Amino acid sequence: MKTTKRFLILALPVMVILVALMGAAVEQAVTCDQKALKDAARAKLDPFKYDSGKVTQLRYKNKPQMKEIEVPVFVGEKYRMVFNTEEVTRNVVISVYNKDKETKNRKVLWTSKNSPAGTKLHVFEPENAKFKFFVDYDLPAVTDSLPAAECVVFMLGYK
Amino acid sequence: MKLFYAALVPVVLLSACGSETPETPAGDTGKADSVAGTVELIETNSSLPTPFRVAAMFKRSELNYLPGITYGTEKASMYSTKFQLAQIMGVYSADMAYSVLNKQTNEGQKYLKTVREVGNKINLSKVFDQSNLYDRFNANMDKEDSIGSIVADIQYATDLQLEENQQNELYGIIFSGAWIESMYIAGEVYKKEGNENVVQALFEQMAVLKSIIAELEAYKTKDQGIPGLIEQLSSLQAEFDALPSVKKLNEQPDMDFSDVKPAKGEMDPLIKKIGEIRATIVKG
Repeated sequence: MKTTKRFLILALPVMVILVALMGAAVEQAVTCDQKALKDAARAKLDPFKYDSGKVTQLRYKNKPQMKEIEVPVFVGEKYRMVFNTEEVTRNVVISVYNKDKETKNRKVLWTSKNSPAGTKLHVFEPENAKFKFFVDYDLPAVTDSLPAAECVVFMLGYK
Repeated sequence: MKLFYAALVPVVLLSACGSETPETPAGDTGKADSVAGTVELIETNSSLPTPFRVAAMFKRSELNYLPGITYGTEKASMYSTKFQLAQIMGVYSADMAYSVLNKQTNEGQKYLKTVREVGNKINLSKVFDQSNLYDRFNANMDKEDSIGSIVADIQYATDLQLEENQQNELYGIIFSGAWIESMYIAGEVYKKEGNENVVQALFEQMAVLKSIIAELEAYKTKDQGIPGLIEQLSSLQAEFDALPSVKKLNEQPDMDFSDVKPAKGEMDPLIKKIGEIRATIVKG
């Protein structure tokens, strides 16, 4: 009896660790078909040529968050940006700025807030490309039990 | 009782690990995540252009072709590690772009063949096999617009292949090799011809460097060559930031690189430094 009790006391934390590690593994497993998302985004780039693409994982928390991507571009070139949000179920707002998040009085050049409801493939053609654009993803606070992470694809094309 | 406390230790440690972690700053580089399809994704907060685009921007600044300043294809066999091969693939990509954009078809074909051979050694053989990209490139080398489209296809295929191979760290290494080579070529042409448009283009291209460093930083634990490369590039960035023109630029956030013209000779130390970094890269 004493041996059983001793076994239980030792086994309990091990089991807790195992369960917690399994939970962490589940949390990291983001199901996201990057190729399919990128192929769909690339189709929307046409007639612009592919320059670069980026998959960003949106990991929701119980408070709002923002992620920013820096996009170097060349002066005077014509660009098209495509955002594929097909796998995004939350109300994530995408905005493109002329300066980074630390700069006061930066200008918003485009925002997905103005896209028609239900739009999954957003297209924006910035004018007067300078040196960098900044893409911000505003993630809402999430407290439900739906997937805690999703993917969004950004793609840049040039003419 | 002792046994009870001993058993509690891992539970407490685990609780500490599971407690709320400090908030990652927005835009910060993230941790490695796994993605369905066995694709590992380390998030970076930057997006890099293609090596061909960098060369094309220099061409727009009336960068002339000077024979003998690109890196010899016969030296490709000197490199063996993944890091060296990725860097030299970038160097040859830039040399290929410089040759092709200047209608040096024979040179361009030699570089294309070398880029393919080096790419094969780092598991990128599928890139050129898809949609006959190699043959299409070869056949259209004298048609700049067609080449632009084919390069875009190659870039897309490369990006997908790197993801599929879980080799995303290689892109920053390849790109840094290509970027340094393009900057080196521009610097060498400027030293011989004195075209101030080229200096302005060099100055503007420096805007990309922070993004390259950010890309490499995200993967610095994935290859032992990356930290040394970051150190070299950071040193170049620091030297650039210390230039009077750049200090002026940084003091006025509304200004952009195109609003500032570097004074004559101001970029010379940077051109020298770029030459030194290029020498380290080709040394392997």
